[in-house]
Amino acid sequence: MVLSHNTLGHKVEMEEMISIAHAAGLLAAVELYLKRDHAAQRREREAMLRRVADRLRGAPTLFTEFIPNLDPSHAPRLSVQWDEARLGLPLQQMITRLREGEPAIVAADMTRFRPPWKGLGIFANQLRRGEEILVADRVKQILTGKA
Amino acid sequence: MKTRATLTRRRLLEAGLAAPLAAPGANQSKSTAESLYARLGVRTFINAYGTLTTLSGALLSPEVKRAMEEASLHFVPIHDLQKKVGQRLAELTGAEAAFVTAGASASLCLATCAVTAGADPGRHRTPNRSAGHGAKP
Repeated sequence: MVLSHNTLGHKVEMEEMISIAHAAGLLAAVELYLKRDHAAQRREREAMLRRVADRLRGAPTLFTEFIPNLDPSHAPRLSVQWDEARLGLPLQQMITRLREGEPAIVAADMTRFRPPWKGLGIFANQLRRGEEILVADRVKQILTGKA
Repeated sequence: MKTRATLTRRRLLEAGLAAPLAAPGANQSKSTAESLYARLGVRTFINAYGTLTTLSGALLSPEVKRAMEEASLHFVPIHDLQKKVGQRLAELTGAEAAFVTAGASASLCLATCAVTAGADPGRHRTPNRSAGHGAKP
């Protein structure tokens, strides 16, 4: 069945088409963004990544690098690096094991970034409170061969 | 079509699927969302990557969910809503005007159309892309 879009005398083009919930939700999101304490949010995300780095300490050949990523629209990042040859654990294998493990975790391959960086990227902007602990423990399990 | 015919309101209610509709404002619990994805066979994950479209973008804040839920309870003329939401967004952001689109690509398409057509209402229609794109007019 083809419903006419002309009922109200205006054609709604494909590009214009959104749901009323979408419009209301976007407005609420912008209002929320403008009210938000962005400095506090950045501090919270940095603290999450510090907790990840602290928890990973002691894993073999491990090196973590904190990247502030101060662009206002971006979030801080943690690059987790290890001696891939010595541990026999290439970055891609780590990413796959995280994704396929329990709980499933999606983290970044920082060598694919521009400019390219090193290691496994753990970014805090979509992590919910407490999840950083699960991520750190899982990465450490894989690094120490206990996974 | 057979599936659709058997999916009656009664069945929905019996299955408890209509519960969120019956109780607007009640937050959908984590377990309900998890069982939804489990039923579909889609695995949830912890997102240590960020706001990627292919990773679901971002989760919705409670304030946003509430606004979407409220909006979904009533019919309104969509052009009026677009106009008022656009005015409010322009006020909030200091932009000359604003318009909610379905995403970045749609925004680029509409903005290109707007600067091309200018104030001529006769040209305020995006080109007919129905040929070759599978879209129905």
